[in-house]
Amino acid sequence: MMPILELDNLHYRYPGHGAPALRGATLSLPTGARVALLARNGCGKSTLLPHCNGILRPDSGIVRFEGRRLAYDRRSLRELRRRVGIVFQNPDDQLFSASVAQDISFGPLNLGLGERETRRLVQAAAEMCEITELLERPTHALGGGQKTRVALAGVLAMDPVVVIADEVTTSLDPWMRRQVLAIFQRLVAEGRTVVVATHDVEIAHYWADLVVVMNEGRIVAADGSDCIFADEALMAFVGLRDPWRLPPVGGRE
Amino acid sequence: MYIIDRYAYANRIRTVGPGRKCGLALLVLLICLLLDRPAVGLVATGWMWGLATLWAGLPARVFGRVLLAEGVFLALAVLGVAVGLGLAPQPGASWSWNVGPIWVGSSQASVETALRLVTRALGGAAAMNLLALTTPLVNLVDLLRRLRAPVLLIDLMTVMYRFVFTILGSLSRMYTAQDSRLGYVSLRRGLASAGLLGSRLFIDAYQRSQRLQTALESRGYAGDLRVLPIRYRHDNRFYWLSMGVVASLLLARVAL
Repeated sequence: MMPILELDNLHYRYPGHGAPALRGATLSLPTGARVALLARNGCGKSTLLPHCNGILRPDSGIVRFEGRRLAYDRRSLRELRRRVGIVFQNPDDQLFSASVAQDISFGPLNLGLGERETRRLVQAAAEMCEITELLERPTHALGGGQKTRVALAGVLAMDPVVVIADEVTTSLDPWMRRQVLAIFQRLVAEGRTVVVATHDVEIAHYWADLVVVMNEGRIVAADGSDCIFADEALMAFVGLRDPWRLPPVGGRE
Repeated sequence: MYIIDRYAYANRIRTVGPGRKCGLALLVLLICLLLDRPAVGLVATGWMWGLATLWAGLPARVFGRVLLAEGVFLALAVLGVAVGLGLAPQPGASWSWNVGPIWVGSSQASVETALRLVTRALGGAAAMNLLALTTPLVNLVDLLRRLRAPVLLIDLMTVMYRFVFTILGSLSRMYTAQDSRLGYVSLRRGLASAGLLGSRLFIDAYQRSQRLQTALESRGYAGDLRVLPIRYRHDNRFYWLSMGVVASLLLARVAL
């Protein structure tokens, strides 16, 4: 199957910083895949993701979307951002309006859609994320899980084919995390590609069909979860652990 | 602020168009200013209080409390009008005392002026309270957008209103964190902690704005925050009530 998004040998250094954040990251995402991106803090994950929708432009290396090399002119970027949506880690950084419905309508209106079409998309996204009863509520009165789902709806209203979620499940309780994963499941069933950046080894293990491990600005492994978690050297190298393999009782690791 | 915001969402006339509520409030304010009589101001205050409790379903106590706060301000402000200070007794004063060389006194005319000022201002304030306590700010911004106010102004109001709450949230979390490490154990430590908190909050707000920018650009931000207009319900009773208010104010002017 043709990959939907390819990152080819990306290098990136933040202006004014000494060490590069990306050192030759290469990754290929198959269409319709459930992808978990595992990385420890400070491994370059938050630098990698904005490269996927052209927010950051690599110093060297190529990003390809649907096989075509990314152009960074205004029109191409607009088209790319419609098709690749990113949900950011903290919903409070993303929700700019005190009205939930207005916030969700922002993306579709930026695409130049009319009021009627936008209302339809807002409603559809709200139903997908199960927040229709929150549409009239003020954003600041919502709880964490509700804000996360509103932020997700704001991205889904643009009808993206790739949805990238940066640690959106991290601060959620297990029940709410399940709800969000159920939304991702529906997205994949519709043929969309979902990338979840997470520290949650369980999500990687049980949910993903492609696990990507990142370390020090590079992709060190990308494979099915069985292969990834069977590779003890790799697990030890990145400091992660197979959720099944507990240390023996009373013994040392 | 939290109280006003809470009632702005939790009242029965939230979904009435902000244009109409604004129109009524401004009309009442204007009438109070033009028909300069205590009776007009008092009738207006009564109407607004009544509409807020009986129509919008706000607790009478809440409206009263907001009005009281404004009343205290007004009373202090007009004290200087009602009571005159001077080095000699005021001519025509109905009473005057002297404290050392200073004479304190007031005349019937000055008391009447003060009364007129207070009632006039109170009527106007009550009208604004009704608007503020029944209309979420989002709806007012929506009204400005419909009136074609400058986009920059509208976007600023949108973002500021949203982030007042998140930054207040940061503030209280940071304060709690400092307090739990005894940051406010003494006045001296408290001042140092408050300074640190303030500078940290600035940095926090700046970094937040950077992240917001990134998130907005990801959703195709092109320089203005386009959002859907809000839909409101039509309520013909509103017109009848408004006409009743205006008629009774005019009647109060003529009769009293």
